[in-house]
Amino acid sequence: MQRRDLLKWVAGTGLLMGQPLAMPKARASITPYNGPLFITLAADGGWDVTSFCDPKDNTTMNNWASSGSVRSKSGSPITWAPFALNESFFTRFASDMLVINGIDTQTNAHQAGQRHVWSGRLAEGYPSFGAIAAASLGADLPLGFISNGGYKETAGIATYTLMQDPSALSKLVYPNKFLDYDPNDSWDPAKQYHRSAALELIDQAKRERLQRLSGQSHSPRMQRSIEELLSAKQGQAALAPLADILPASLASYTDEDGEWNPLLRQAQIALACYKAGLTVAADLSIWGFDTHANHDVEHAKGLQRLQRGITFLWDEAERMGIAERVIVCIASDFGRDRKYNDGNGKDHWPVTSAILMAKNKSWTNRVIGQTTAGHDALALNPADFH
Amino acid sequence: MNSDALRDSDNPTLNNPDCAVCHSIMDPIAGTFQNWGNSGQYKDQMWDLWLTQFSRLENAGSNSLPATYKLGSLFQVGDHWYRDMRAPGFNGVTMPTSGNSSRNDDSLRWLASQITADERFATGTVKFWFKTLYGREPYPLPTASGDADYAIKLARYELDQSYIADFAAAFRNGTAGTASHGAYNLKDLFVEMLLSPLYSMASGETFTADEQAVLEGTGQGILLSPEQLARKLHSLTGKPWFHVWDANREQWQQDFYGFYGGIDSDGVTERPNAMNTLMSTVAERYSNEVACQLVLDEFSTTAANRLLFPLVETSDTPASSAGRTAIRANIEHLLGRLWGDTSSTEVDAAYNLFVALRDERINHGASTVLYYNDESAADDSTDEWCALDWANGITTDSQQVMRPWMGVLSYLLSDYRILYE
Repeated sequence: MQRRDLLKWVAGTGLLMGQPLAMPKARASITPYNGPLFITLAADGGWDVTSFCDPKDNTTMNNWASSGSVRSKSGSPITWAPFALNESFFTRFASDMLVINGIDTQTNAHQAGQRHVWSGRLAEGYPSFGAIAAASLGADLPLGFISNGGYKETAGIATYTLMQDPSALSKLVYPNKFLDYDPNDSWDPAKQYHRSAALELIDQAKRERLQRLSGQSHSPRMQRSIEELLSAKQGQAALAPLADILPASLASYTDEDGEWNPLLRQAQIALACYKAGLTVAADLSIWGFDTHANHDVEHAKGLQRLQRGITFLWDEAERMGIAERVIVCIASDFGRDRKYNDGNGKDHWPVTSAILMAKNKSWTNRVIGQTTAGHDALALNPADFH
Repeated sequence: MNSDALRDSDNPTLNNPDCAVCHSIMDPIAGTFQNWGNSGQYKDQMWDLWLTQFSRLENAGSNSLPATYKLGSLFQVGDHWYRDMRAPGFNGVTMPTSGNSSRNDDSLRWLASQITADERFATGTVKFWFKTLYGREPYPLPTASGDADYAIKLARYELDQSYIADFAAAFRNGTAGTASHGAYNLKDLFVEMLLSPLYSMASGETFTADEQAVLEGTGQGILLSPEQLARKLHSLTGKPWFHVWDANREQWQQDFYGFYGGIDSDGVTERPNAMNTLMSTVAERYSNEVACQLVLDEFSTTAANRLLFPLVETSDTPASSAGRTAIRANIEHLLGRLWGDTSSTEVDAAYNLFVALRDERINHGASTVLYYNDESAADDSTDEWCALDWANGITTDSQQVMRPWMGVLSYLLSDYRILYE
């Protein structure tokens, strides 16, 4: 099909429904955001909630059941398994949790499970919760939706920003500054690549160039990408507050016991971007839960990483004075099987749980949804949601 | 999906029709990978001593089946694949496993011969290369007819499928491309795909909003990955983007790799297909950081050996007719090399920037030394960083043209035409 045929084909579809076109939004001015920060935390691989927040003391299902029993805390309906760091984790946070058990993801496939959990749809192409939140509450923010690799489909309603080692971030906040020197050293180097007056002339020429491009006729993809670049550049000036809020000392990539844990730094940066008024939603991501072999040992490590990461997140949020505005949703692709396989692992199981966390909310310290002793999901009574 | 089927624990992928509908297609193909174990090595299981204890002597390296299976009741000496799985095969054909025609030892070669003989191989090839050439996957078939944008999604899907069918037919019958190398020639397929509007559409007609939405993944304007950008800019400028103190740190692919959409193949496995603010600042920083060194390196060599400034010298200024001619000629060269656009509008814009930058320097008495830091100044606004070779290199610019050239390079190197293809 050549160009002429393509145009005929499009005309032949009869698409004249007047659908709004989701083009990138120009940023006239940016208002710092101080509403709720929505953090979605993906335990990638499919977690075993029967050893976590929906405990099953059945020795076929869980080895820990032969020596331990289900745990709880006075004044809370939330129960947990004697596994990983559950005891200290739930003891501290149960009153800040809404546990949702008996979620049937209707799939045993990782990608489908991630889509279903984070977008609410099994089908492809629907936006994640983070993208919806960013589009609704901070469409003009340059870092409205931060991703660390979880399910981040935007369906064109927002753009996401991938985060990496933030030690380079200050160089992006100030792209004209020379920063490769030790501020504690006596050497006082030149601090800019271009003089400020020259940079203004260069920036003006760049803006005029983009306006010329934008005003020309292009292919639909090119037109859209030009608008994206225009919008992205307009957000650059708003990054400045980030430089003041970024922590001087970055969180380690390892836990207190020396185990690798990327959640610490992910959480630190998400909170700093929010504190700077630039972020509505962030997805944090940690993998290691797909324990088809040696389940008990490997899954305990995964849960410990997760629990230490969440603990760090709340400690940091409280230190920064923003804990009251943080809402965390923790979930996974699906659950794990009700029995061990030949390699002492656990395979996939569609029934899972999710945990919502927030400080001082009326809806926490609560459990919604149930499963049977064999971990089948029970139908939920909508009247429970009130 | 039947959720009861997900609860079936009686080998459901073999026995439950709800699972078997897909697994009867996939599992025989999985079986042809029978000779590679969990470590990815050929016939890597050597449990002969163990097995001897159980009177099941076999030669070391006979198969890749794990000991946990071989010590069970199903395994028999000589097996290559699990007896409670479907036999290796493809598309309803079972792989020969006995006698002289056995393909047990080269099962993947057998699979490859079956796949390439299938008519759908051509379609699969087009789909495999689709994202590489067009910067996106083919649109999926929309399933929710109640969605407000269902008609647009369906039109996108059908348009892609129409092209894929056309490309596959041309690949299959040898009419793809322009060189007529014959059937199943991959180079010809690439030419066919690159000549189509899906890749080459540059300037648009006047589209309605709906038409624009259907075609938003069509034509030029593909965002380059950090790897692609690093290679492109190295090629165009002759220099990688190294860290100022470390010539082993290529910054597109190290310091700023994740910010610019790089993947770690672990937690981050997908690249963004849209520019965001931080990505745009990476390009800004690149263009600011490299400009000085590029200009110095270029003017430190003879004109014939320069990539960026072959038509101008540091003695050429806008004050003379010859100087203006040389500067404009070199700007046209830069625009052609870096943007592929030498329109008079763009030449004028870049020339005017050069003149404005030089005039500003002269009018404000800017230093002719290419590194400048007035430590007594109240702020850093007049600072100009550059890593100079004070002993043997260029350090001054009496005509005040090198800094303006650096400014022009910064203008050009962070442009849309650099970041997208």
